Amino acid sequence: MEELAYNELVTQNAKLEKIQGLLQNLLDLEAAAIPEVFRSYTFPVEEKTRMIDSSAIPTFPWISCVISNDGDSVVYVFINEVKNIREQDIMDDSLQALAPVKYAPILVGESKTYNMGFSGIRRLYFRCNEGDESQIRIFSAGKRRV
Amino acid sequence: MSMENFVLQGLNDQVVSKKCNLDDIAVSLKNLLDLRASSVVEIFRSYSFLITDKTVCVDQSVLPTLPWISCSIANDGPGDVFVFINSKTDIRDHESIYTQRSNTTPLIMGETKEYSGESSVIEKLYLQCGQGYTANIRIFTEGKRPVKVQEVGA
Repeated sequence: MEELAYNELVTQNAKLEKIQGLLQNLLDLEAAAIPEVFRSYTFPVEEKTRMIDSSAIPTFPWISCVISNDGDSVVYVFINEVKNIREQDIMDDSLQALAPVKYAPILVGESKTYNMGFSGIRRLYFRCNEGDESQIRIFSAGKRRV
Repeated sequence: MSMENFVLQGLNDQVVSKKCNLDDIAVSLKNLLDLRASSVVEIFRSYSFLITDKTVCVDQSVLPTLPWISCSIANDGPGDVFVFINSKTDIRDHESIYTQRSNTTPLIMGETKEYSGESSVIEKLYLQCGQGYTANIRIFTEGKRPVKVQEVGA
């Protein structure tokens, strides 16, 4: 009988450890969304796609950012990647079914917020239409680097 | 049953009972963790569409980034756009027909509307303008990465 009770206590302890792990994961997820470093940047935008990452701005990765288009023309912004291979394949097929599918720009005077909830914004791509120029302001929120 | 055995039996019952509670707590915590994780955005996309008076259904066959956690739809006009998320009508919607209530409100030109599901629940969109009208819309989406695929730069 004592052995049975001991075994149950061992099992109970294992369950508690599992619960502790789950709680820690939940806590980590919540903590990951709390920003510590706020910065703002201004970039000129041209027709040629420009990529910025941690080599250009060391505060990357960001939890969230707000991008404001202050220029004279629309700006296309892509977070982390422009598209993936799967989209490439299916997008090509879909062009016949629902044309035209294009990427949407941020209009002049417009602001757009991108919030990932964790430090997942690793790089930005931005560009204008051919022959156009613009200027964007970026307000970033991220974690302090260790 | 001796007193010692009686106490041990009681202790055992208590332990077994606590184990059951711990199981329930673990399952609830796992569900809570999954629910919280399901609202974390992994990919952002933006799309531009020309909408006419014919209903367009945008689903995963058109945009493979669906389902989305949330999306923001901006109507750049000139027409107003009717937006339906996931389904155009359901059984309950018929009630409003009988009571003569309008159950569809358009997104007016210049307006931006955010639809947030807090999880990957936006599976398809139905988009349509009024008779004889067209409109350009921009859709900014937030969603999960469906499968691990190679990223393609600009």
